[in-house]
Amino acid sequence: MRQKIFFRLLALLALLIACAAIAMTAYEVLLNRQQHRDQARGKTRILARQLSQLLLWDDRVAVRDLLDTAVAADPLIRYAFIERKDGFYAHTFRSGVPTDLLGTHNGAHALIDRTIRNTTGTVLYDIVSRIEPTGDILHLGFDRDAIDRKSLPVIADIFSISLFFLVLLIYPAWIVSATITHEIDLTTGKLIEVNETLEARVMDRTAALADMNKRVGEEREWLAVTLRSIGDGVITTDMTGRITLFNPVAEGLTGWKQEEVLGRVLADVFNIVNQGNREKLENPVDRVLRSGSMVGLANHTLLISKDGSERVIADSGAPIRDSVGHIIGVVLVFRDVTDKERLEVELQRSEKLDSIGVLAGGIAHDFNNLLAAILGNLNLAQLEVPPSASTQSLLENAEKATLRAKDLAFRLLTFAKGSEPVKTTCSIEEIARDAARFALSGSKSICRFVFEPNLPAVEIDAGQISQVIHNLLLNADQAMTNGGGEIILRGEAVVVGRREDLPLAPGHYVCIRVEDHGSGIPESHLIKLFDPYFTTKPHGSGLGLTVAHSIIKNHNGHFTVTSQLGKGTTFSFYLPASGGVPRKPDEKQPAIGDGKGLILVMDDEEAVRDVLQGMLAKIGYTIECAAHGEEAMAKCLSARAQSQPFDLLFFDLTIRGGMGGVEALRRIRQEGILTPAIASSGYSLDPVMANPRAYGFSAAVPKPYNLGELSRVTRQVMGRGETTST
Amino acid sequence: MTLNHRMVWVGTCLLIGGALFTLWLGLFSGVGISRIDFQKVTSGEDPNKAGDTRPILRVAVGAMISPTITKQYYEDLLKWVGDQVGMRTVFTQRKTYAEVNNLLESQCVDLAFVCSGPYVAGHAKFGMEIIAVPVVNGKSEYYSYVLANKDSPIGTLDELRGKRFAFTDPNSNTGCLVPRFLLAQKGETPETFFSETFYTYSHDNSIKAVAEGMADGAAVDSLIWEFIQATEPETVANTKVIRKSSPYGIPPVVVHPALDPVLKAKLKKVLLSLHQDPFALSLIQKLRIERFEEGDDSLYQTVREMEAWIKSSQSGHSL
Repeated sequence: MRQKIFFRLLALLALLIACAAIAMTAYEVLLNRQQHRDQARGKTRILARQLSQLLLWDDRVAVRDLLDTAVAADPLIRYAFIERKDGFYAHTFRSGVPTDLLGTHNGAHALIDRTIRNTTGTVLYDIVSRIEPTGDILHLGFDRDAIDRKSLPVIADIFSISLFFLVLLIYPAWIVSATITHEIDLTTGKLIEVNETLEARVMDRTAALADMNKRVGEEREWLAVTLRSIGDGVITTDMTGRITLFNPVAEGLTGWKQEEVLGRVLADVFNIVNQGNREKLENPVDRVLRSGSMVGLANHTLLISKDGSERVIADSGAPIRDSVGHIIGVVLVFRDVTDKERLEVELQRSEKLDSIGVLAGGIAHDFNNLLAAILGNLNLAQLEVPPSASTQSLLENAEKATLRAKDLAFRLLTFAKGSEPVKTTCSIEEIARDAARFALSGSKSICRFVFEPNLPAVEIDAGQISQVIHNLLLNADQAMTNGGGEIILRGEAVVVGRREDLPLAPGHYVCIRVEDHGSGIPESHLIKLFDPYFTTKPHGSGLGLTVAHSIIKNHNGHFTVTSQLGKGTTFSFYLPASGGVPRKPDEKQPAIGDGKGLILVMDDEEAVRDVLQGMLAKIGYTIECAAHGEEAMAKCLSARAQSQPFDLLFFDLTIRGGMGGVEALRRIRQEGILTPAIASSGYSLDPVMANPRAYGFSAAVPKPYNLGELSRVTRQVMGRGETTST
Repeated sequence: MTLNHRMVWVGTCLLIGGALFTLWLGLFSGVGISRIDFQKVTSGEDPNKAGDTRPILRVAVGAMISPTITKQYYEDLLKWVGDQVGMRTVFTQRKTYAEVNNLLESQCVDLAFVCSGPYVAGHAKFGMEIIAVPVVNGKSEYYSYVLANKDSPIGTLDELRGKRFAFTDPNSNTGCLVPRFLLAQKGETPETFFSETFYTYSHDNSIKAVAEGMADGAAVDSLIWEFIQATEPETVANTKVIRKSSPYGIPPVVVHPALDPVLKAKLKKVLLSLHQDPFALSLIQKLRIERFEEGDDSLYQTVREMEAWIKSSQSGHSL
């Protein structure tokens, strides 16, 4: 290693010295030439001056002698001649002046020094000078090789000194090579160490970088997935309002694709107007950039999508800030609140309906109380008048009207509250026929009944189903274009299998169809037909079909409608078939006057108490009355104390400002009094009326009731001990 | 040593070799230098010379002024004269007056401008003939000025004793004969009077010799001193005239007596009417000559007598 460096160093030094020697040699040669050339010019000028007078005196011999002397005296001068306009004047050549040297006079060569070469290769400096005043030109030819030979001693010195220095530098080169070797060894050791450290660091950093890249990638993926998955539309823009991100929900709401909108200004894509006055709203990005804080959209903002569809949206815009808090863009988050707004409206309507229901319930209760008084008094009046008397007919009409008023109150309650049906096993054909007669009385339309024979009985709330049929027939009648027509009311037994399209459990059903040949219903209306308050009639409530649908659902049935414009509509509903036998209406006239027993009547309405007292007295019972629960309880206890207990309790459920029937009976039972009890209420949708036994009653009689109904129920309870409800 | 290192070394060696070769090419090879065939020589004939077939008028001017100035002022004038007589002028100068006289005597020249002294000698020897004399300041005469350096204390001719003295030409009237005459009048010769003498062979050279201190004194042609004063005032500024001689006949224009009379008549006519030509007048005005007029040999009688007196008084001293 050391020798290698030494020889290389030596070679390098030799190279440098050689280069320096060559450069100095070249410099010496050129310098020597330049010096001799300058001297040659001086010599030529001096000679020209000397020749001046000789030429004027035309002393050609003297001139020739002078030229010969100059050539002989200076070994560097190879020739001399005087050029004249007409050729030459004198020269030192052996046989004449070379033609190519002439021409300075005629311009062939400018009056300048030239470097020339003769045929033997000798290089000469042709130095010229004008001789004044004759104008002749003196040429002196200087031998360059001879000039160069003057440099030889200097060149020899240069190379000798170079060699001397080379020899002189051998030992320092050896020392330097030793030092360098030592330094290299040290440095190499350090470099290896540093290299290993660096490699370890690079590996660590590379691993850290890869880990960081992975995490960044995951975060980006997570962010992208989040933005895709988010339920709201998200749009981000830069400071100029140009879109930089557009998630799928935003695509769905605006109708634009992400690739279409990237780089476009938000206003092109996010077209928002006021829902009320349709005026264009300010771009939320501009508002955010202006305020520098989060802003929300005004209510009733309508987003018009690319295809022109409109959606009510709620949104907010917020600035995006970088790590030092500078705003670098805006993020806009918005969502479709069309359904929510609609639901809010519906909720408001529903609340309104609930209020109406409460009101209707109260009115119906009071109304039934009044009807109970009216019906009871009518029945009593009928008993007072001979059956053949004309007054009897009037009283019967009044009773019918009272019963219709009862139905009306019942419908009012049902449609308002959608109560649990009070089901009994019925023949639906009879209910349908009654409802048709009632619905179409006074109408131009006629109803044709097409019922299968031996149609299975159904377990239904006769009043509610009657209302459904009533509503359907009214609709059919109103759909007739000529003010009237034929309405077909069908009743069919249907077996629903597992693969039927109907959303019904497999089994036997009775299907009732109401067919008309009216104007039909447009397809766009069909899907809204059962929505609350949807109506096409100027004075319709929009509740008829809604209530009907609700009733059928509560009977575990199904409601369908098919319609063709201009041809007619068919409403159908399915009710589960019952294996029971329909209860026959009691044909027999109630027995009057043969009833026995002591009955406690409790009702807060004095008129009801009075008429009930009269009616039960007519049947033959002894009556005690109480206005509220506390009084009834006191009388029960008193009667027991007197060993003359009551045989039957007839309690109104709803006592204004006092204890009701249910609470009074519970307390009486707590006293150990087990007298049978009948519940009565003008609020027929009360759950006690549907299931009286659960509350300790043996039967329930809804108000209003006629004498026959009252006689039957009291007899059943007191006589057979059987509980039922009517 | 790796491959790369070898390539570096080989490359370096090649580079140095290339540099040396380029150096040799540039310094010693002669590549790019124009080549001259020294065997192909010229005969020396001037092709232009053959174009001008006119007869030659050879004119010599005596070295009264130094040859360079003489050529400068006389060449155009003489060329004009030649053109007037239908001849090509060849202008000739010689170092000494004697050489010019010899050329004229041998008819090597047709026309000559000579000093008064050489005229006297030429007229005596071969009948040198005057055809015109210049008129300067309205006169056809001139003087000899004895000069000394302006800064020297020398104020008279006597004070030049033992000093260095410059003569012009041995045959010059004002530059040599007159100072010898003045010394002879004192019973002196240049050898006895001056410590050292030498010849300058022209009057302007003598003026420069005094001005530059090469000589303590000199005698020169008054016309030339005034001419130099007008043209090169700085040259005469360092000189002062310490002695002015008697007037002598002005240097004439002469011909050989055997010259073709027709040519002689033409030349005379041209010279005498020369001042009428504006161009020619401008040329002679540079020489401070107003015109030429017919000369007379009697103008030079004083010179002839002075020369004879010197010879008689200083027999044994060659001039």
